Amino acid sequence: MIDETLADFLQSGLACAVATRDARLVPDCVLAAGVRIERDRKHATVFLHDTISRRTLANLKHNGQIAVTLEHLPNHHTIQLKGEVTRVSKATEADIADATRFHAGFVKEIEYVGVAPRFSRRLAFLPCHAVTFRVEAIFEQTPGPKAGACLKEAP
Amino acid sequence: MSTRLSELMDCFQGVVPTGIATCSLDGRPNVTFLSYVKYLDERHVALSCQFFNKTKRNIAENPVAAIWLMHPVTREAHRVVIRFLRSEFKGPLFDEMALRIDVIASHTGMSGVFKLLSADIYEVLEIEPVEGHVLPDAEAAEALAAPPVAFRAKGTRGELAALQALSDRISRAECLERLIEALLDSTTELFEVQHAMVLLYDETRARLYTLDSRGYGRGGSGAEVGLGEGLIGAVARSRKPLRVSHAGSDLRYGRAIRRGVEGSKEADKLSREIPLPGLHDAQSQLVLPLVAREKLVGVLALESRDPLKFSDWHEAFLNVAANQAALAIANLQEQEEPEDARPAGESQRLKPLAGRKRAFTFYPQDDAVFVDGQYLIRNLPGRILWKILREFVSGKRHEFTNRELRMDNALGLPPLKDNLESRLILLRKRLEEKCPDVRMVPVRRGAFALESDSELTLSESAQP
Repeated sequence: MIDETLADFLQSGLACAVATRDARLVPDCVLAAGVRIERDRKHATVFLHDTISRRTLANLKHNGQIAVTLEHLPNHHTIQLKGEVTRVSKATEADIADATRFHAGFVKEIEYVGVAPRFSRRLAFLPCHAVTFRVEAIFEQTPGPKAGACLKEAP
Repeated sequence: MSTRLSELMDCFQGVVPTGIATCSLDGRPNVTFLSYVKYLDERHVALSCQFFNKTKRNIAENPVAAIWLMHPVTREAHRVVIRFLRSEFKGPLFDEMALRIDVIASHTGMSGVFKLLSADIYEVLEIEPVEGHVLPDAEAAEALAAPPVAFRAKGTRGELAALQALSDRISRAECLERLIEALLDSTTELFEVQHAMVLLYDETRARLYTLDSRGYGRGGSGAEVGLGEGLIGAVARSRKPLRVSHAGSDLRYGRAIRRGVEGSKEADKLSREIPLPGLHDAQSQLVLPLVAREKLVGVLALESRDPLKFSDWHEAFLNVAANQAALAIANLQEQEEPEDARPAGESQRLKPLAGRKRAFTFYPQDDAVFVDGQYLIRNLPGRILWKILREFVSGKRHEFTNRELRMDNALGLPPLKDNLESRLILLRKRLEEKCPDVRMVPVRRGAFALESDSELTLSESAQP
């Protein structure tokens, strides 16, 4: 589902936003530390801060529907993954190591676009949950006429 | 709602991309980043729509969305739930939001390709501070609470005092050159802005030319911008002020869209990218039109490397000053300056210093004058310079009056509103910048003398 080039891009430390929704179809938006593409290339794991993602985690427990958008801020290259959650758990040591790596990459990105380190390094990402989802569709999301185009759908 | 939307004003500057989540009727969420959310009032925001995308389709099915607003400095975040009310396709709000899009489009060569489709208005249903998003930092809290920099030490009456000082300096200016100096000096000193320029509008050529500037070093006078071209040209055409925070981010956003258009059927409509005026690394700009009696007089442009240098407050405050300056400029341009009745030629002609030479070349094709092979000036100021240089070198005279320039049909000054004074100021500044040993020195009202420390040689060339 996710080829090597795309997996490298998605795991390169990007700005990461997550959307979920509740039973009344009211959406929720939260920022996350990043995503890890699993070995089967069909699943991805996103790392959600425990406190700021309470509503998101409740939504996922209710219906499991998730969308994750990752953007490379210096050139706005953006991809969206959509899918259904298969596992939610407290982050393990390995998860924390990955989240820390992604977060460090993101901090570099926002410093590149002008955010002072004094502020960028204050962003909290721990303690976090690891949320694994089956990737059902991948979308081009770079701003422009092709934004929203479906790049790939799971069989 | 415990948090007021107006408390989050800094989050609306467009510095940090805002996440927006929507949901289709079949329950699939969608999330993307927005470049700009506009504050309207305590209960409403507007989002710009440039493409009919998934967000727009979801909103048509299910009008509720959630946005993630982040403070551009401290990174403190708020989750805001909004509900779509309506789209506007014309009117003041549409025009204001379209201007910002037009500027990005113009700078990235996408005029007519990348444009605002609608200004979408949303009602704010809920504002929730995101606790725990940032680690505490006392210094950041202090920065957030600081008042605008210019009046930090002057108390609440500081703003009025500053406006009064600016107004006094503008009112006292006895000629156009002093007026422009007063405007630039006041705005740069009072607002601690290092980079500012005034461009005047040449109606006959539909172009703006830089008359004077601060913070760009020598050589800025005379730089031109076409009406509608880039940030300054767009403000001149719309006659509406425009504030851009984090210009670099806007340009990156525009370039991302351009890459998408390059591969589409509209690729042939793309044109070259236009560099930003002035500072190549400016992060924020405030450009104000100078409009008097519904006519465009020029533009006041301020720039800073600080992405949050200009706020709503600066825009409103400086607009008052710009309006007053515009009226004063228009009055000075329109009134025929009374000339001293004494005949020309009473001042003493200077002799050139030994061994100093300057070679001027005139290119009639575009009325351009070069000095020692370097471009100096063109168009009407070029023709004026060439006239006075020829008469000076022939030994006939070294003093000239504005009246005789107006009477000289060969110069081609427009019969009404000729802006002669601003063209002479520009010529004088270009000489100061490019060859300071040749000077235009006012000798009395409406008259000037040409002085030269160098021996001058003149030639004409048909080759451009």
